Amino acid sequence: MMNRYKLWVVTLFLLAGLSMTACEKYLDVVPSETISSQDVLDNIINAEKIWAGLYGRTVQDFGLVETGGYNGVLLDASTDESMNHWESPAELAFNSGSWNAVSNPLDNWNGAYQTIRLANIFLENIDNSKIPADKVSYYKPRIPGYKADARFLRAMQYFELFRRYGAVPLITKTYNVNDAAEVSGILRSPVDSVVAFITSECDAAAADLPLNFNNNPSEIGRITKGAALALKAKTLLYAASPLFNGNTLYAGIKNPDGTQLFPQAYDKEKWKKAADAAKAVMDLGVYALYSPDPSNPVDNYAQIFYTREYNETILPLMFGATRNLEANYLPNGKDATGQSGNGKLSVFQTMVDSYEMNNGLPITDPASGYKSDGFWDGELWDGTAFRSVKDVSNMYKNRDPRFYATIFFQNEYWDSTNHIRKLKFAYYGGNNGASDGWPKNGTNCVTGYNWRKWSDPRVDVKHNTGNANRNYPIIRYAEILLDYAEAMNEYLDAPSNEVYDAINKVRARVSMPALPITTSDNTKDGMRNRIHNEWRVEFAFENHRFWDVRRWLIGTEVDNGPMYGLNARPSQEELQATGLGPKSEEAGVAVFYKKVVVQTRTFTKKHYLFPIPQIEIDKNPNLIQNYGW
Amino acid sequence: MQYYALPKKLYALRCLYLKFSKAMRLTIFLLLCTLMHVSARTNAQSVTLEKTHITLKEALQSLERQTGYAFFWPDQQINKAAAVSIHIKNGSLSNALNLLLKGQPFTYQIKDQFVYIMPDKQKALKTEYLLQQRVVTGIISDTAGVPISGASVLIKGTNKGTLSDGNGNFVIAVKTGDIIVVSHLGYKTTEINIGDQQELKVQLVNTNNDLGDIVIVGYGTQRRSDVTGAIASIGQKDLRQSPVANLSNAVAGRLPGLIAIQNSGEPGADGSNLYIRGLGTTGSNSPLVLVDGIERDFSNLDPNEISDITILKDAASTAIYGIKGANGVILVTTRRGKNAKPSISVTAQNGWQSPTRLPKYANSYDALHLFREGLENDGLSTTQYTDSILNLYKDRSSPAYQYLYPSVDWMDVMLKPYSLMTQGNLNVTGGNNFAKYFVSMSYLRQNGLYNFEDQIKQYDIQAVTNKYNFRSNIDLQITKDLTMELNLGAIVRDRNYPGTSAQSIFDDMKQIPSWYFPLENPDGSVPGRPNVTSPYELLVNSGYQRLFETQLQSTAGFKWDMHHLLPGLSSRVRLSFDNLNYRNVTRSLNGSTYEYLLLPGVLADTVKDLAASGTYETIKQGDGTLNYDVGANGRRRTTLELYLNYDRQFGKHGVHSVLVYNQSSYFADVSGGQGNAVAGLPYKYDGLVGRVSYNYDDRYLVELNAGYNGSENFAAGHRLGFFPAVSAGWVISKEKFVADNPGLSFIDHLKLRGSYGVVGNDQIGGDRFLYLSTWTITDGEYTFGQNRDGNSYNGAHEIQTGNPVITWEKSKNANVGLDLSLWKNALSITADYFWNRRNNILLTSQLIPATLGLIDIPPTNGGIINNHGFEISLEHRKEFGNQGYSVRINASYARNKILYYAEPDFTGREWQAKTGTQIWQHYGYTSVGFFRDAEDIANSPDQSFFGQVQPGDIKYKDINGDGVINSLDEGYIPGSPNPTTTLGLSLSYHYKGLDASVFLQSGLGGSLMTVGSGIFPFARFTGVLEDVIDNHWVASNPDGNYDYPRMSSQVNTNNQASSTFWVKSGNYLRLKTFELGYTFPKRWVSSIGIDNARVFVNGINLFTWDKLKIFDPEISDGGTGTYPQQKVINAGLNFTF
Repeated sequence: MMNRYKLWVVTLFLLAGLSMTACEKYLDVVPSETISSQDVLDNIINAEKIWAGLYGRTVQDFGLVETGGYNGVLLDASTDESMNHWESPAELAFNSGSWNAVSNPLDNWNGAYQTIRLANIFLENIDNSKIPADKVSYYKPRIPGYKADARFLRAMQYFELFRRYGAVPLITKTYNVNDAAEVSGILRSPVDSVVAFITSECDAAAADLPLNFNNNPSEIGRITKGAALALKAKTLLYAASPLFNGNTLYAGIKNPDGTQLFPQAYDKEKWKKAADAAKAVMDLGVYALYSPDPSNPVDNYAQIFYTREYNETILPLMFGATRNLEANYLPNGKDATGQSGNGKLSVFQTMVDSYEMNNGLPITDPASGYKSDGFWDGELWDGTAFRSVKDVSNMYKNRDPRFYATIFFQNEYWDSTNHIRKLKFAYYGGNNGASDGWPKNGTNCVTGYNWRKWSDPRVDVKHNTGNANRNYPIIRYAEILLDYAEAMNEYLDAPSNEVYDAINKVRARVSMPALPITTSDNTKDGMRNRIHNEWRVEFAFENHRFWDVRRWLIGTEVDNGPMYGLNARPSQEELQATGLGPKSEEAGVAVFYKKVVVQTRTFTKKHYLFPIPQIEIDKNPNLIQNYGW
Repeated sequence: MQYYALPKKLYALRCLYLKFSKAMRLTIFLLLCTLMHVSARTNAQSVTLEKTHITLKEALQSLERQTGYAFFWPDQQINKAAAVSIHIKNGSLSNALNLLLKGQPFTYQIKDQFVYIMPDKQKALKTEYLLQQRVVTGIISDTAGVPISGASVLIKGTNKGTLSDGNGNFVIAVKTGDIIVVSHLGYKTTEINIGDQQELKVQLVNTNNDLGDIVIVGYGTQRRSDVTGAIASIGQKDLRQSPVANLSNAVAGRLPGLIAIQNSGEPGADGSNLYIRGLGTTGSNSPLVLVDGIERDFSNLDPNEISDITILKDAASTAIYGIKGANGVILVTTRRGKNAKPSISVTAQNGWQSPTRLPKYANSYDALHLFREGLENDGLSTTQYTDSILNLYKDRSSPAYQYLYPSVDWMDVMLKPYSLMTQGNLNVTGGNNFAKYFVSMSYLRQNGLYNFEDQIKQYDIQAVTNKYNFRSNIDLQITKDLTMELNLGAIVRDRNYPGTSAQSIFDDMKQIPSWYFPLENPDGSVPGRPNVTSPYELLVNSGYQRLFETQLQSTAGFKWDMHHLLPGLSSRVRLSFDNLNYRNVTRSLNGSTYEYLLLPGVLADTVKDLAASGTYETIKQGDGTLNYDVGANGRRRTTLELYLNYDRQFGKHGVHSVLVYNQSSYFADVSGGQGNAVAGLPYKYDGLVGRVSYNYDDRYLVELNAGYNGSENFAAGHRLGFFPAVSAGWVISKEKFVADNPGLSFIDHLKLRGSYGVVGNDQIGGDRFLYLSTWTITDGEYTFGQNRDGNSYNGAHEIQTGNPVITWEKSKNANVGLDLSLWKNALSITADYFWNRRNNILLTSQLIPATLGLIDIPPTNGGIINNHGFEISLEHRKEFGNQGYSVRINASYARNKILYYAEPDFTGREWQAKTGTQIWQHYGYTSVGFFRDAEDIANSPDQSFFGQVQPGDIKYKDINGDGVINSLDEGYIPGSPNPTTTLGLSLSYHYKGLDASVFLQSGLGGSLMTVGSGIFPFARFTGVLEDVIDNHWVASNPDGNYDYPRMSSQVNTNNQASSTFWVKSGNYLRLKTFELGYTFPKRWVSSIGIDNARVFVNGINLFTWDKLKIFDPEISDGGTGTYPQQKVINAGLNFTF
């Protein structure tokens, strides 16, 4: 009887039994689709992508918000140059001094170490990557260049950490997840060690890098010998600057083992090292200031900011053609011809005042000829041509040509090919407020000035046509010249011709008179003021000022307290008092040229360096926090 | 019983084949017949057999072949039978059998399509037995007089009995003095002393927790009295009271321990989030949902298809699901056929849906007053907002004003007051000894609320769901011991939506200020403004979407009773295949918008002719064409289950056990591309799971459940886990000291239960293979070249660093419970207390230093969470005469606490640590009211972190006491979004044919962070709630009690920070459903061939009492909701033939 069921029973149990043994195997969904570390590191074609990834992660960290730089923070709206009247929380945090170890919009601790890990992985494995036989002749000669690039890009990450946090842990090998405890034990390296590491890496990279890629134009934009040496010069300049050179504010910042993290003795020789490093770049003989229109100093300077150029630009951020910058920076509002840009950044009066007269004298000099009242008719460059202007304030007459290329002001013109607009920033209450200063909708310019730098006149944001073809110059030659001038001035007891020559090269491009001009230009202190101002003017809105006020330790003076603009948002009483009718354009203009406080800033001593992220200190109590945080 | 065994060897298989194919034919035939209301019985079968001296077996085989009937005979005896000669031509089967068996020691019986050949003495016995009986007839119905088919009628103390037929009739042979026991699932078992009655009328009282009930548990069923775990279930009747399009909304409040939160009411996207016993993990808390034992979504099933929904709550009931059980399990069972005449049920209903609540925004005049107040506070010019200008927003004396000074109530104009929902269902159920069937088809059309659907002729912009459900559950008795199930379900959904998502449209309706756009331009064109889009534009100018979806759910299975091998042994095989395909067509419109402006020099108040006085500025120029975009993909799941069951009673010892091997493989709808290759790999599970339960005398119950299963997502060696649970029950009411104590006779049933076990959760947020390190390739990472036109390189980045030891979450769950029923079930109580501790919570460790440089810190098993609570339900029922009522109350409470989280100590900032908080607890600042005046600001901690503060701004507590308010003062603040307590109260009453029921549901203890542009006034291009008008801080009364801070005209970072200020109680009480029904007296309807007819009116979400007031209290946390929940009033008819 039983054998009737044999077939059933056997089948069932066989099936069950088979399934049982297959239990674990059934789950073996081998994910060959995932790209594993092995896949990447074993194959030169994939390893090359890590190299490219380093470019993406490192180089793209810089530039403006529109180019994806600086965590989306507008550095230049977090300095005494300008403010973002949309008041993004990031800039607000810096300007109100409310950023801290828990929330720091420019914190790059995570990102930098992620890139450093990528570079470490690349450097540790590239020599073992397999190269297909037919590709050996292509890859073999390229690998030293890839490695040099990776070392440079890693050094650049350390430079970014260095100028933010000062002393940072030096991680030069790859760790795995299970090494978390070991990594937690790594202490901050002293500033001098960090600087030594960055400069030696730059030297090592420079040795393997070409002067340029002129014989391989499709790779133009890659890191060159000059870029490596320029980063070295920049690092040494920072190291010699007051923030890092004998700054006693940081005397108490020591590792648990007692190691002093910030050098406490001022070392003049550091300036010499910085000057020498800058000189090394100058001596390469491959760089010159871009000068496409020497007869027109405004245009001669303005063009570099919307041109792809590789003679002055030492390290470019290769950036796609867009009109985002124009859309954001061109003044807001609706003139008679229609819609325009967003006018995102309002420039402070102090920035305007920092431009010298075209005779080389600061406006504070009684001999300068500067007049703050009255109006002037004449001709100004509108981006495309000279145009007659009327009723322009005397404040804007005969200034450093870079002023006209950098800042928009009342009653000048902007010509974007098929859309010429007269720029109005004064309040106008009539016709629902159809001026640049008071657009009907949205927000408005606070100070009476907008950014002009970076805008390409060939881009028409009204008709949404044209794209600007530009790279963002992360390091350009003018910087090396000013590095040299600054470092030499600080090193010498009194400025020499070497100092004057370097700074005058920068001034000559925009036809500014050569220094020295005044007697104080012959002193170290007088020249320091000139150089600091030259940095400010030449590199306005190029993410320099934010770091410079820190390394010079002047943030508490210049970026603290009231910030001024023109009276672009007058009160009702003021307008009434004009007797011109509160809604008339005349009333707005009548009260416009008046210096008013538009923002009050907070910058205390602790803000010179960033706090180590609190969460990292929570994870690793051996990481010592910076002063004041 | 060995007589009716299968013939031998190959013949057996052939037979099986014949019967099987016959079964299929018969199934189809039956279905057709039942639909035509014809009873399927075939008697006449003509046979021809002209043979001399053949074996009886050969003769029978020949008949079997000719008729297609299944023959059963005692093989050994038939083999010994004498040879026969037979001559019959086109005779009937019974004639042939009579001839064949004449003079043989056999008799036969034709039952349905089976022919049983039995030894003669059996017949003799049977006859003898019958002679001693008398036959009584009876009819079984429910309290409403509706006949109950398939009810069991058993003579007490014997196993003799019968079932009622489709009309509730039964015939049974009894002896005087017999007691018959009438029982049926869902009804109270009734005993009747026959006495000398000849015709019986039995009325069964409906119940949902009769102790004799069979309840669904993991991989099987149990008698409710045997259950030692914590489970709860809801039947079809309750489900059908909720006129909802999405079934997941019908369970809210009905099942103790289940929390349902419905965030949206958008047709086709309105399902509830379901949680069993609150939250147990920071990751996914979704319970495992199984429909007929297969992992599938149940939200789109039709309530008419459902037999019941059961939730499994404790380890005893969920351990059998092992790695997937820790969040609880929802078991949905569809209806099956029963042995009864076909019963056809037709239901048609129509519902009127309207939003439970819509936020009200201020009109232009009021809003601009507030805006002006904000400008004044911000020290900005108000010249554009003088009284005379504001008055124009109310003034409609010139036709131009409504276009130049609009005031549009978007909520009002964009939505219709109500929309329709239509549902129809036809189902047929019945069966006989050979085949039982349940077939059902449903149609649902749910219309959306958008207005202007008639504006566009060419296509439909309304949100509409058309849903078609088909289900066919067939059980075939292939042989006496072998049954087959074939379950086929199909769900077809055709949905239509505007080109813009409901979230965007509703966000826009909440944000666009009333004064921003006119609804339409004077010429009927769509108004536009730079940088902003009107809700009207989003609706009528964005095209439409059509989403087609087809779901197939199919299961085939065999069950084989192996009692021959070992009494009580049976086995089962199930193979299931589910598939969902969709094709989503998006036709977005490239439309134009215009702004109507007066011509220069024309003054608005002088305008007579709008066309002549104005001009249209083109804001957006489109070509008016529809784009065409298709997204099509599919998902599939295959499941195999092999069961071995052993159920046996040895005297007072009962053993029930099941062992299951299962495996499943699931392919998600992942689109193409290298980046999706990993997500496209199948999700696989397999395991060996089982249960052994033992009971002694139905008094002491012990049960062991265990799952040994795993998924492919973990590293080999960490894949399979063992999840055991032990549980026990003590039925005190069966103990002598209770049962024999007359003082305690009111106790029907008293049971104590307890369970403890370990269950797992492997949901790791959709990421796959977290044990592997993976890289991603970024296309076009960096490009070189003079004009950035040279070499372009792809980039490689490490995205996931593997954690080789990652594994599932493990939950240790304990449960104690009590079941009590008193006074003949008049009052029944179930109470449970549970305590769960979840270890190995999958989370991202915050302890890995950033200097390691990991881009994605791999999840680790780094958390411990405790969750405990209780559930209690009470039910009281009373029937008297032709009326009756019932009251059901249930309450549940669950509260969790994070005991450990892989995070630093947060020394000095303890309030920022997750450890010690609840899951999803709110995070933000602690508000201490408003700044009273400048002096108050000066004397308070510095709050300039948010910018300059003013009187009337929210003042925060300086938690760390450093004199400055900044992100160090942010931390976990009291409250979390889900309710901790849920309550349900159900009342019902019936009188003759009239029945009424009301169901109230409440969620308490949840709170919502109500932030976002729907609530913050004037947060860049946004309007303002009506509630703000008289309810915001004003300088004239700085100490008032306000719900909103001072007005500001723009984004106010200080006041818009997440803080206790914006945390609002989510407590609510809803009149969830009500139903009023009338069943027509049978004598009225039977004359027209209808067994039962009922009309009903029901509704859902009719009233809500809550503290949130402005928005529906079930909106999702941190926002202001989307498409609102629906209030539905529904009326319908149900006929049963």
